[in-house]
Amino acid sequence: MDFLTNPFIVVMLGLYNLLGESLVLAIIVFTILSRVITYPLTRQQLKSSKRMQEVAPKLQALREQYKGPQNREALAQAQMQLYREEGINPLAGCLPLLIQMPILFGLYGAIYATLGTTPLQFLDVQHRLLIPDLSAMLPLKNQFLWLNLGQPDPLFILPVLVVVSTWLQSKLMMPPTTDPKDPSAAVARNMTTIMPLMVGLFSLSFASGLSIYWVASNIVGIIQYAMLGKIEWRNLFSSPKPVPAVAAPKGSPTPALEERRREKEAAAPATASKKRKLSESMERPAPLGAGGSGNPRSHSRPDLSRKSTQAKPNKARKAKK
Amino acid sequence: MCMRLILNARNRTVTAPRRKPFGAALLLIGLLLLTSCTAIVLPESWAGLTVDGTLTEDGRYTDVQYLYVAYRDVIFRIDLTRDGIGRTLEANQRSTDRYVDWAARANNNGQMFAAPTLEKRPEGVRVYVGSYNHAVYAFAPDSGQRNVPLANWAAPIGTEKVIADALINGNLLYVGQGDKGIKAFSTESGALVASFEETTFGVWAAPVLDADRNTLYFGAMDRYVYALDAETLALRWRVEVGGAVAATPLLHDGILYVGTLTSELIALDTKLDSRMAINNQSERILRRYKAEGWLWSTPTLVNGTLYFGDLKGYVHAIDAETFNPRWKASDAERPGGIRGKVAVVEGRVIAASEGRHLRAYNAESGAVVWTSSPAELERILGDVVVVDETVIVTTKSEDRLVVAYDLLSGGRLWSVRKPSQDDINRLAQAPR
Repeated sequence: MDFLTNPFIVVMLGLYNLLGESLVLAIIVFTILSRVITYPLTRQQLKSSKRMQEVAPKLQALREQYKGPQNREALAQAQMQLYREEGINPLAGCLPLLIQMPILFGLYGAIYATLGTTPLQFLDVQHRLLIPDLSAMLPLKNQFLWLNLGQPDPLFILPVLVVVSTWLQSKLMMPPTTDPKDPSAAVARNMTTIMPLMVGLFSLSFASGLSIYWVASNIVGIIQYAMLGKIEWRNLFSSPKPVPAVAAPKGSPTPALEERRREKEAAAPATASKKRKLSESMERPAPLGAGGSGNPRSHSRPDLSRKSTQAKPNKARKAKK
Repeated sequence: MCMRLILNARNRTVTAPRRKPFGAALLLIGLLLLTSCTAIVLPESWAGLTVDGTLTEDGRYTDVQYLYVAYRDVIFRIDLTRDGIGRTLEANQRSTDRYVDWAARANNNGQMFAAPTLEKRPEGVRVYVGSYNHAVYAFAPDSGQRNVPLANWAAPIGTEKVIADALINGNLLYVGQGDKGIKAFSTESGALVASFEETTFGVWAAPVLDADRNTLYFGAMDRYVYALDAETLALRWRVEVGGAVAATPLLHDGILYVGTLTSELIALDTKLDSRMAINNQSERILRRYKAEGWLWSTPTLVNGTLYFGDLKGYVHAIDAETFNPRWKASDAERPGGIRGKVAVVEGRVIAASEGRHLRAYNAESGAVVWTSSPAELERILGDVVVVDETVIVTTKSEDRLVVAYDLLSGGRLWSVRKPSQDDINRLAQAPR
């Protein structure tokens, strides 16, 4: 990660110099800058997760339909088809995150390196300085109020702020769940509690400069999400409200999906009408046994299996003949 | 936690399962256990080595029986006259190890970054070393209290973390403070006698004493070199040198040679009667020499030439009077910074590098005489010392913490590992 950390150290030292040799300001501005630079990626990630939320009811319906391990393959196929139809790449949410991770590690490494307080840490900085003249700035002034930024906070105020800000961020950004039984939703709920505590525990032993980075990063993150209008303020005081799981299945897509579909139709009517036909055909009751679920409600569910979707165009062809 | 979610959706009620509090609680407990079981990452440095012997004019130590080493939270003594299991070595007898005859551990995991400082007393040697754990310890290897610091000697509360080696002057022990200033403790009791706290950053290296002027000189990480009254620690003057000073200066004929972390060697005139304000007597700066990398060691002066290594891996030889360079050499095949002091003996400049090798250069020309072999397991960051015909260094490897090489060939002779807790306990009970 040196290829990222080392330039970041230069930026960090530059900011320190520009901001009147204030290490706290340098860390905060550095955090804001990095958040602003990675903002397009964050937005992309949010968009993707929103799209996933929009199709979540349909996905849930599919899961209901293809219960049991024997239907696992069919479920996967149906899900993939749904993604194709909706124009969703399920990995699109991960990619921006993957790009951001090294940047975050580099940023973290730069702050850690410049806060070095032991001789060995300091020795390491020398090998990382891309501009040798920056040595004149070292060591950095690491006293701020009661804090030595290279040491953990002795009053434990920063660890508390880290826990609160991390909890706030995860709580405010928690998406609504479609199915309370969904294990991933349960994990997300648990993580909202555990993650802040874990980060707080770490910050008890980390340099307080890193805790400042953490708090600043959380606050900037919350502001960014607020600007995008994605924040679920009600999550603060209650558990995330579940989205009706069966509102969509009978063919009526969520309002957001419908809106998107209309937009697409306007842009490319021919393609859209084809899709609509396909979608309508999916909404028709599946032939008995095609779903194979044995579920009494299965006749009213969309059948997205390859078998059924392929069968209908054949019927249409026969009708033409 | 045990609430039920009743959801109405299209005339259908979905009942959420009970949220199990146990999962989260178990995870949290596991996490806490994991955190408490994980070894705390302790701050670390390189080993400090002190030779109990006479330093001769030709740059080597003679009449040496013991070496004292402090590394992490252990301090120990190596008996050079005995092999690893304690048998006395005959003249010219070879052995691949040496005997550790005393070892002790600092209190509360205190990490020792400095080399031990020795004080000869009628009852035996006393060893002082500061720790990063805000303490200064005194050990008496030849007393009854062998494997722990002396209980009746304690630096007072308020002592900061210590990175610097200590210096003894009469009954005063000067110890640089890791965050700010320097303190003088009584060698009798550890009581604080005087302190100077006007540095804005820590003092990471031992001061040097000018007994004639009763003045103490040291560099600090705040980019200043200070001159203090040796008794009261009152400020006499200070000079801004442009970069942090992490090494002990060299004092010779009233000239103070100081290496900085801005890669400069600076000569300061300590004899000048300056009319400038004591806070920044810049007119004391006589000469500057720009090296390739940071200077973190005390230069060695031999026959009017200053020898020193830098952290880019270069060894420099410059004229002490003019600062004109004589030669400059590096090891392109085995790159690595030179942190420690170089030794100059028998026309050879021996430097140890982070590249895990030692190299001997011809002191006149800079030509390579030998490169040590085999390579060490870890980087070498300690000072190079020469005891009789042996070159001794410390490495970052606990298995071969102290290593000795042949002065003529650079071949490895013996090594000593860091003593374990079992070793320390065994040695404490061993008969004297």
